[in-house]
Amino acid sequence: MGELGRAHGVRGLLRLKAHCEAPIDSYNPLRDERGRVFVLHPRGADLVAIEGVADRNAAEALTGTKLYVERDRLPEPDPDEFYLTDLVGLAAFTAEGKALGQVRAVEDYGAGPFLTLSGPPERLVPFTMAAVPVVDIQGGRITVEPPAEIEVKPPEGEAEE
Amino acid sequence: MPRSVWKGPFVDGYLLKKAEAARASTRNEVIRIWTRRSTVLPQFVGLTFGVYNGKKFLPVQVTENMVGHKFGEFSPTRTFGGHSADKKAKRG
Repeated sequence: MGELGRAHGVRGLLRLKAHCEAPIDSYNPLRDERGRVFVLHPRGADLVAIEGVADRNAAEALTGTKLYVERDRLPEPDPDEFYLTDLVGLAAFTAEGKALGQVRAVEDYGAGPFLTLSGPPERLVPFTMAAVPVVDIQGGRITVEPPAEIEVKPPEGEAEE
Repeated sequence: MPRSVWKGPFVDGYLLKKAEAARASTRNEVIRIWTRRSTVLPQFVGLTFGVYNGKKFLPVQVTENMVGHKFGEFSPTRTFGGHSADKKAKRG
């Protein structure tokens, strides 16, 4: 969910690099890799106070700590909406049962999400009902209908500069 | 009238012809293009393009609010994967 940065001031505040969309304190309590529990209280844009951390020395000892939350504590997504963490790692098959590898990443650059399938060969598939008709999180697989690809090359002599 | 208005939006002519042909078919297809400089026009809405970023053809599903932007804006050439955390993807 985030990572604690450097200490700020002498009262135990820390910088926080949050990776989540919701405010991080909505996921309290959070845990680190060793199972320690943290309760965070935001203090401004990128600072947090942590319960039980009252001075700079204690705060400095936490720099670099990565914060996690259990998957079952995330709120239920809307229909046809999926957590990226659920999608990554799913096995991809065609409707005929041919393996296309695993979902390696889900990216979105402002023009709709798309899945990167590991292959080989690697494929980028738009995350639409037409291209990915079945998503079975429990079964650990998705069904992909790879879209037809049409190449539109510039005519000879009209290449871009 | 400003020069940019009377000249109109720039689109590579061959792309316009191909997109009009693709609109006629209802198949699930990605139109692979190299022309990052072309403007997204209203007649492209609903189509999916694969816009080259120098390495891969990134799928770009054209929607109404993308009209007027260039295709290259949706296919970054330098990327960072980021962290999934609580991020969600909506199936279109």
